[in-house]
Amino acid sequence: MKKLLIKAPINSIYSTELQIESGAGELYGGFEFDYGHSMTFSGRAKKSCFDNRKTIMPYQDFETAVRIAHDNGVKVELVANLPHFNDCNFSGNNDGDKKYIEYIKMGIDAGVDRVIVGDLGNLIRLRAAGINFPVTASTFLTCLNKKTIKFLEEMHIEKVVLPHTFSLEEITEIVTDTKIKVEIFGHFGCSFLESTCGLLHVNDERLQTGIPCRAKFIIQSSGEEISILDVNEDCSLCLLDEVMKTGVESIKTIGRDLDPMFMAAITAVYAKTIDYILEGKSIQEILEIISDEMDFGMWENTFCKEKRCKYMWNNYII
Amino acid sequence: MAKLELHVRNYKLLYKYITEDYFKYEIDIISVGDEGCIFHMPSSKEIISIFNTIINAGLQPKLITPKVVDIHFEKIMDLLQTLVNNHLDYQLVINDFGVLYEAYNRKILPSQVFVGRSLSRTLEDTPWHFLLLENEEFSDDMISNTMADYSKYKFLKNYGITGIETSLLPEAMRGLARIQKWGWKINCHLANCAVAFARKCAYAKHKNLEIGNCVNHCHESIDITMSQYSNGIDYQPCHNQLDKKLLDFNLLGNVLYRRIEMQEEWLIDADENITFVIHDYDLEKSDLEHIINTFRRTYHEEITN
Repeated sequence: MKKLLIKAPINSIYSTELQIESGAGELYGGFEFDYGHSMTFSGRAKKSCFDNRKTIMPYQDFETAVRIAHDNGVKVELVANLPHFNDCNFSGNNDGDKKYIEYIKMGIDAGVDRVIVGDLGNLIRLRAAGINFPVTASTFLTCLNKKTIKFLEEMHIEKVVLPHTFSLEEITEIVTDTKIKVEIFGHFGCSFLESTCGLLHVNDERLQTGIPCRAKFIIQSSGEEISILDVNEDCSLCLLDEVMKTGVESIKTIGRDLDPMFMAAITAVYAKTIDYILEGKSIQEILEIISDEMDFGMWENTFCKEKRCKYMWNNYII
Repeated sequence: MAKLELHVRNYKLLYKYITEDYFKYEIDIISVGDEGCIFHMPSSKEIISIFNTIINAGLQPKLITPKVVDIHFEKIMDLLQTLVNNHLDYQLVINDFGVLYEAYNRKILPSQVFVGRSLSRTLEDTPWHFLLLENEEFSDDMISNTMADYSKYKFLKNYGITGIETSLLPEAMRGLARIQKWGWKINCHLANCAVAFARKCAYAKHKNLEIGNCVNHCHESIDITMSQYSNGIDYQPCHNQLDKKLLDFNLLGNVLYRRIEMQEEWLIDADENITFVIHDYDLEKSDLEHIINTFRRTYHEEITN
């Protein structure tokens, strides 16, 4: 069984160091660039709506982060995966499409290993600009079947990130069918397919929407107040040995907008689990070791008790 | 003159709609299938009879296909192959690039193919879009439809795409005008905005339905209002100063929708390359009656006069 990489989010040099120390095998992040007031090319707004934490870092810091990662044998992907994009220029002054290419070139100059693209037009633009650099197809390109992956393969992508909701059998079939690298989500999830989701959040908007698909809603007909849209799955820890058998290259954790310490702790749990699996330990043994080594109570309360397990329950999947 | 399309999600009711006087003189196109869920698709055995019923009523048939996973992929291919084999003239909506890619390669696409609403998006699909864009210098561009992009147009045209589907939203109109100039047709869903599509069905979960056998229990939307937001750990009341309408949604199967107030001026000046789409699952709503009456007044009375 090959080692499964954890692809973790970074938003500063500090978070880069923390994630590498915690065992991340790949990192993804973006840098500040002159595009938009709060929007960025990175698929996130500049700041988190929870605590105004920045999701991206200054370019010089990004260069340093890439250097630190490479010094530690860790690859870095540039987030350039904003999903809502077009080349409209009604004012005559908007050169967003050209700026996008400039942003990518700067990322490549900083030494990134791949670029994550989330919009078909941007993928076309990038190739038309003669940039034949390795591309990761973002989950925003919604590869739900093998033929969509073939469609993107013809545009010379190197890796594809599958949407959240898949069974392990389906993942295995997809990995077997394609020559490109496949990445799945390891921790945290969305109720909806991201590219199709208009419940945008974490965009420093004035309206505090939190994470809308996890919100409570009043059902008009009954008055009941429940999290009706919450079909999220969050944690893949207990199935990590099975995930590794599928042959996926990496698992992704999300949280460029979250506390780096919190995100690094999640990376550490997954990294330890992967190492123990490769040593031949069972998941049960691993969970006991981790529970002894760290305060696992929050994890158990948040994910285990609520059965927020990824890839385990296939109920309600279409 | 613009066209009017009735999307019959519950295709078992097709005959009833066709014979209803209410629609007789207004509808040009009847569509079946679904943009969200494979289980609302007719089978390849049913499709010919359905389409012949529509054609015999003097209407244009249209098939709407959703995103699909591999286990259901061939069902879509069988449908398209069956329609090709029977030489039926119809319109097709595709919401999955894999389906487009494969159908193109198998040469089973009809002459009119539209990119569906799960691929043709706009920031305006987000109810609080104006807050995301309030300080953006190029908000007119940013809010335009993602298909209002010349690179995508050139690329997808080569795959046989001839138009797009979109929710008719006021801010994104400039992008639609751009698409029209390229010669693509536009199908605008009236008073109904597709907010988000899922693979895991929250509707089935809420109603405790078994996937696959849930179709007959999935024709009426659940109206919901966001009341407490979540930061992922706990909940707090939505203490916003905004219109409550921004927090109103309706869940139907695996798609989250929101209703939009229809403005009559949107219908005026629409040419023959525009089709306005209404849905059978909204038939009980008073706004639908308003749409029909507006459409009748705008176009049919104009012809009579």
